[in-house]
Amino acid sequence: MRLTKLLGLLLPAVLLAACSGQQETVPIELNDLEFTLQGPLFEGPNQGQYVVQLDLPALLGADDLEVRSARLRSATVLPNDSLGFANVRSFVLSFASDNPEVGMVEAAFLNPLGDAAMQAELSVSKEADATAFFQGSTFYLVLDADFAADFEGNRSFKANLVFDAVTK
Amino acid sequence: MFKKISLFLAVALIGFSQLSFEQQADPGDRLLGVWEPSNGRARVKIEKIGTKYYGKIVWLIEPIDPETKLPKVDKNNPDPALKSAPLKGYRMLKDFVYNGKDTWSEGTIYDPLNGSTYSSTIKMKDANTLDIRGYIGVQALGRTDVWKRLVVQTAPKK
Repeated sequence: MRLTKLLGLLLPAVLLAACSGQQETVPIELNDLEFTLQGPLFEGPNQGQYVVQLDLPALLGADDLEVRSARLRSATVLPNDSLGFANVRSFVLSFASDNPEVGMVEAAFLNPLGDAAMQAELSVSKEADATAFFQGSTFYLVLDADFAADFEGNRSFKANLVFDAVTK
Repeated sequence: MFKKISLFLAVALIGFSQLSFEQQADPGDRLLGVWEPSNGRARVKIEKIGTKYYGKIVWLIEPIDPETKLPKVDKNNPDPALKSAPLKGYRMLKDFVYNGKDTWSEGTIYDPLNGSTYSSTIKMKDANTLDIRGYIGVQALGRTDVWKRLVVQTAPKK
């Protein structure tokens, strides 16, 4: 009876260890992502898009690794034109995919922007799961900037993102 | 006679250019624009990201929260981290795919009043009217709202 109980405890642990393999958490950095919001821009929320063409072997430094899970760790937005953050009330960063099985995810935001001048560190959602976006070849980053005024021309921002990816 | 031929050619050319424009445009893009739900309390701009359609709140009849005296935030969002995200700009329609027959499906609609997200389909009744159905599980268990396109009135020429 005691042996049965012991086996009952040990077996799941052995199975878990056998299935886990060699998993490793690695940072994936996507830097200098340029978002151009095409003018004319009106007061209120306006979006810029960046298409991410994933090259996982280059990002992970190995050909045979795949991403088992991924979460955004940090998102920094920087001004990329002479207007800086002028009249920007807030930023929201989302991920989207053409895959009908993968829904849009709001990943990070900063509201209100406050007096950030050189860079804006967005608040990252702990529940935002980015795994599905790293399992295709392309996904979209969407940066929404809420403006307090109209602009005739374009506005431009850059973003640096760091993901924590579990690879195997 | 020459005038008639010229007129015919001009009409034919206009017709041809319209035809080629229509051929190039994605028929699903007829959904793009600004729409108003039946309660008139918000306006939603539908845009395209990649091949899917998304609608974000661009106008609210009451943009300021009477309690905080600040712009409304998405305080009912089930994700605690997003409860202070701005409501204006929030995408309440997500991931719609055009599948022909004036219908966009596979999407979701978010109700900021209770923080719930429902499966959704959109049916275009005419160029300026949408039936937007939100449902849980099967389409029969749901509710349909009629949205009207916000048509920009141009001032008459003097």
